[in-house]
Amino acid sequence: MTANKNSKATPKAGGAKNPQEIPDRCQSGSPPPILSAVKEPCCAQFSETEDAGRQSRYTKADTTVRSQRNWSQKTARLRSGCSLSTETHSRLTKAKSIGCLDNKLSIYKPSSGEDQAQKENQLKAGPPGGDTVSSGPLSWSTLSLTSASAKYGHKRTLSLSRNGTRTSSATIRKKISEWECRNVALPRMSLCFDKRPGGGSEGCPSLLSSPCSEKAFDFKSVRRMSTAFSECSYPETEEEDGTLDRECNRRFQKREGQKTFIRTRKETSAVLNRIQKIEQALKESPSAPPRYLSNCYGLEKQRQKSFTISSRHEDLDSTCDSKRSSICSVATEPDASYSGSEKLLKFRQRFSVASFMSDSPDLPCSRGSPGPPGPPGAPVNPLPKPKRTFEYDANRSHKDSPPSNGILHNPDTRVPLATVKTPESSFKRTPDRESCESEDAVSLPSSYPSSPTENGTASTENHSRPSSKSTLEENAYEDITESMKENPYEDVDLKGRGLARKSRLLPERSNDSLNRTWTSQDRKSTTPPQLPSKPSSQSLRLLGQVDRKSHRLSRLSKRHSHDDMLLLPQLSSPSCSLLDDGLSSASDTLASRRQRRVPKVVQRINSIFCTKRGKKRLKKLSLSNIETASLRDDNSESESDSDDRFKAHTQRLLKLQSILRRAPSYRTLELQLIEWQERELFEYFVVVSLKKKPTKNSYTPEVSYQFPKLERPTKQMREAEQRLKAIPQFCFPDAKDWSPVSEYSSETFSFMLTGEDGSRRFGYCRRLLPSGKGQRLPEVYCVISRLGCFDLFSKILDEVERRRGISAALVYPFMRSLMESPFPAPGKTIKVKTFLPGAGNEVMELRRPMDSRLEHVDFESLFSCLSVRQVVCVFASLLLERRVIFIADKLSVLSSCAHAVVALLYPFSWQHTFIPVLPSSMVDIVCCPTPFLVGILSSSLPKLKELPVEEALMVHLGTDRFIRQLDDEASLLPRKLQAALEQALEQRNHILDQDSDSESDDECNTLNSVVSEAFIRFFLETIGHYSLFLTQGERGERVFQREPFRKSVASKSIRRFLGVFMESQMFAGFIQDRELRKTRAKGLFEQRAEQYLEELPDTEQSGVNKFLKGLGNKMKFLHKKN
Amino acid sequence: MAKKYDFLFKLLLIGDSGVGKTCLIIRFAEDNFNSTYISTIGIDFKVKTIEVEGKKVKLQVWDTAGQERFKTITTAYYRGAMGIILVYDITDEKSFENIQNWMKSIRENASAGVSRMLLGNKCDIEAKRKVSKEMGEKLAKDHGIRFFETSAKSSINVEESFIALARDILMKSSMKQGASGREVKLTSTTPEKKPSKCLLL
Repeated sequence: MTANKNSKATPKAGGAKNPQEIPDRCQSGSPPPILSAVKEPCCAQFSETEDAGRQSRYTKADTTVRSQRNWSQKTARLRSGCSLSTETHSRLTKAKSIGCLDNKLSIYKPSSGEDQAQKENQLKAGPPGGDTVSSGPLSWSTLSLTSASAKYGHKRTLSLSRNGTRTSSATIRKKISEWECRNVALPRMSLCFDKRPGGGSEGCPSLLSSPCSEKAFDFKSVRRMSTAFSECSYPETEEEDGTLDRECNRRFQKREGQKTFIRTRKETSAVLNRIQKIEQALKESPSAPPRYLSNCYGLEKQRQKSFTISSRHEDLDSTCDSKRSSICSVATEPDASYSGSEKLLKFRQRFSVASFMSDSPDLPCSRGSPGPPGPPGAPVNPLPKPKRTFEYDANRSHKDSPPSNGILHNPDTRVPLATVKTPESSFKRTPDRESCESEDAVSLPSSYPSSPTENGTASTENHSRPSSKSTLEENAYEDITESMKENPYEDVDLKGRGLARKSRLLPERSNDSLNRTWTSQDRKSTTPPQLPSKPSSQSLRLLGQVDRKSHRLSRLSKRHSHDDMLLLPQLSSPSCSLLDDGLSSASDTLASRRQRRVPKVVQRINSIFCTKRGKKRLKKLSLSNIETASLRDDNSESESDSDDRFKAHTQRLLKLQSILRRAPSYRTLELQLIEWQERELFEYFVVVSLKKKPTKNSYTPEVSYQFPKLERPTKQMREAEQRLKAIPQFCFPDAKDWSPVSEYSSETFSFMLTGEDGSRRFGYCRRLLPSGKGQRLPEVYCVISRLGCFDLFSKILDEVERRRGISAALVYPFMRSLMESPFPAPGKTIKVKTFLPGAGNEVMELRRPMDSRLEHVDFESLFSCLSVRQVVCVFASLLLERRVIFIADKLSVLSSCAHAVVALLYPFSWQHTFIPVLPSSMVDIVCCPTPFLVGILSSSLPKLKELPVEEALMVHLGTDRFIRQLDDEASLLPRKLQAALEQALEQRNHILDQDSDSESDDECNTLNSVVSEAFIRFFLETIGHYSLFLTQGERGERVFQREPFRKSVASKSIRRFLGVFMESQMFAGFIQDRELRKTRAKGLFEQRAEQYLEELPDTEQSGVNKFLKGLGNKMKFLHKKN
Repeated sequence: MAKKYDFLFKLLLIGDSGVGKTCLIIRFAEDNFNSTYISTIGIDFKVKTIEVEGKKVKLQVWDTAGQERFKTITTAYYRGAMGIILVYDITDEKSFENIQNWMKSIRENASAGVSRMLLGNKCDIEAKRKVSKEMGEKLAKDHGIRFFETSAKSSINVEESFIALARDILMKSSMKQGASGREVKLTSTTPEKKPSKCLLL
């Protein structure tokens, strides 16, 4: 809610104060608070319109508070905020924490935020919180900030409750909780509700009385605050600490935050919910945190103005979120400055609009939720903000190892804050996923849960942010878990995170765009609580029905933001709200930023497609069209059977979904891969050597060493046993061809095992000749893992080979230590301590690339074996799920090409039999009637030719020819798209050379990414609009509208292609995955699809374009919400 | 492979893992060496040559892993097969539900002229039966296909069912004249709906 309001208000407010900064802040949602604050003091309108409850609560002290706030804001702008803050402090003096807060804190934050925080702290863990705050003056500042912020938040909440919370808050909370769907928030919420329902005042006492609940609230509030204020806090923490302006801003923020806190527990609960939402959003969108940071940075850049703005924004946010809070703050700040009030009034007006939009009843809730974040920021002023930033960082880093750090840094603060609870839980979660940079990978997992401090030491960055850690920790963990659980392919987003991190380091960077986007999301996330203002049902409907959404959009540009908020409580895209609001500047900036986000490589590929594909794209998607398409059949095309087929299809889907619903979990290959990332690095380590058969003069492969040993003979073990029995054949698929040799250059290859349940395992092999003299037989060192990460295992195998060169006995301890290592998350590094006699202790770093999607892929080897045309033919055959057989002389070529060609299918995954290396003894498998991709050594070619193989494409890698083909391979794909694809691939090196832009991630500037992006573009042109036809069913389940989807494509050739392709198992799996997902997919493909949908409108009417944009955004939000 | 047969029919087993597909084809092939590739490469097949109406018919029965992952089974999956054997476990309702889903999608796309058959496996475990025989019969009747309750463990109806399916395919193919001795290709004839024929134990 706040986000929406903020967005709206911010633009307005921004216009008044600092337009540039405003948008960002608007995103952050800080502006709304300001407005609210202003409104409250100046105008009863706000209080009335926005939150009747708030008004009532606030009204008492609102006037004073408002005046104070206004004044404070002005002062903040003037940088006189110190005095104000001090004033607030004096008021807050009640809060011990303030005093406790460091001098610095007292100077900045303590004044406003501290009071509230103190209150909260007092209520919950007041003494400890205060102590913590006071304890860490400098470094503590961060800590103290966090603690202070938490305290502030609590205090604020308390104060709010004191003021007299309204029952509405409870309802709001409920709504919020519903939207958020977060259980965590709910319990706390429930507590809050219970207390508050009786009355705002009652709620306050209850809060005070129940320390536990308060603590919980504190946590939530802190988190929220951290998230909401993170933007502000980040800049402040990094740069502001020194600058008075920042301090002032902080004070303001603190005040705001205090205000928000004041709102009451309900608000806090709402805040908590919002925070959770924000967290979710952040998790969902890894880039979000960076954006926050960037926002902060941006603010810093413009510091004074921006700060003032930011403070205002914050105020606005806080006001929006918690107008009540603002009131409280006003109360705290007796000195109300009307000069500030004027601006505030403007903001308020804007906000009032927004608030009106959101509906007064809803507002309290939403505001309350946003308020909490704001309050934290306010209390944080200087310190809290840093904490928040830390929190964010921690979230980001948490994925790596932040949580531990945070804990370590401020163990004391955390404990007092009561955040301790969350950290622990988070820790428990993290160990697996955290690829963290633990010195000892093995020790890490255990250490995290037990001794966070140790972990904390690992990350220096985290140290500074310790206080925030506690709040952050949970979030971070959640983020990690979610991200991890998401498709591995979605890891791509991590890049954004990485950027965000970078942005942190470079506070004043041009990350604004990112930050803004993130902030906007954050705002939205915060805003969702406000959603209630509009009918929730509508929001739900919107999700399900694009058409309605579009209509609404057309009707209510302003409301759009609300609708969006409602629809997408967790994720609010700035663009939507901005667009709706008609803030062209903001939207433009966003668009440009987005453009910036698109690597040049991708842009070049896009341009190739644009010139080649022709003008036909998606048919105009007018509302009516979409409606008809989604609801019934496609009017534009009269196909007699479409209706029936459609009905039958939907019925089928409905039934399937109902069945699937019964089964809580669904399994797709993508999900399985993700799940397994959380587990161990590998399952088995096996050494296979050749043994001479007693009777014949040939050899058979046998396992000579195995780790770990199999234990109980359960059914799984039986299967594992079968696998282990088969592994030697895969390690030596050519065993019969072997004889002792004196020289052999080691070879690395991989194979793939498919279990009875369809699960896939990678076998990474290094075949080498043991050290010795004379003729001898090679050995294969093989690691079986669920994870596809070729580079990482290649590094491990390098070490194995090195050790084997000394002694086989050195290999096993190394592998044992690895076995206990967690698998690193994408972009993360684990360090493994190794000891090698003679070389001493060594630390081995194992890093996974950010984009785990291609980490096991080497397109270079594929193009070295096949021409572009051939690659495209193979690609087309795979797309239509034909049978493909690769033949090569070398195992490494076979395995790398097979993996590469399957990776071309992204975002789709090969659902059928996949055997990169097929042992010669199993070669008759190629007679299979079902689709497959199989690789065999050329030594098996004679036998292959005898077999009754079904129609298949046989590709001899390296000879540049097809042994057998169906002759139509080159005409399977839409002609123009194929031409574009081939051109992009032919020019891949050129595209790569051109790309010297430093902005792009290094990982973007690889041949792998160029090739992948070209194929992604192909899919965008064909199915990039799929999300528009993923509509919500009656029960909230997502249903894909097949025929409307296909018919919406203007190009006849693409429609024809889709007609076949949509019958493939991989398309079915893709859609199935999207339909069943609880959250919207957010991988690289979804990113590109979003961009693709945005550029669509160009050829169409502007209105349609806008509509599509809004639609796309809404869809995203909806997905995310789900 | 010497061609010691007049026809080669490729049959496809469809059903959740755990319904006993592997045991079925092992039993069918009378393969005492019951190793299987299914747990290593996710695909396996067994071969048996039978005589149907004086013709030597080589049956290749294929099984692939991970089918329970599919919400629908598309034509791409089974278009290379001449016969589809849908297997569920009479002690497992979910496996039966999945069959129902797949049956619809296969029927909708049955233009490939694939012969189908429904098997309720593990009928030796009467005590744990969850899917009544009538339900299986009804489902088969609705789709106009054969239905058997089988037991791979007790060797009930296994061979009978496969031979019955082979006969159906042979009839279809003889109509279409595809007997080069190698691989009979059924071109798209409208699938004949055969009356459901339930064999009692």
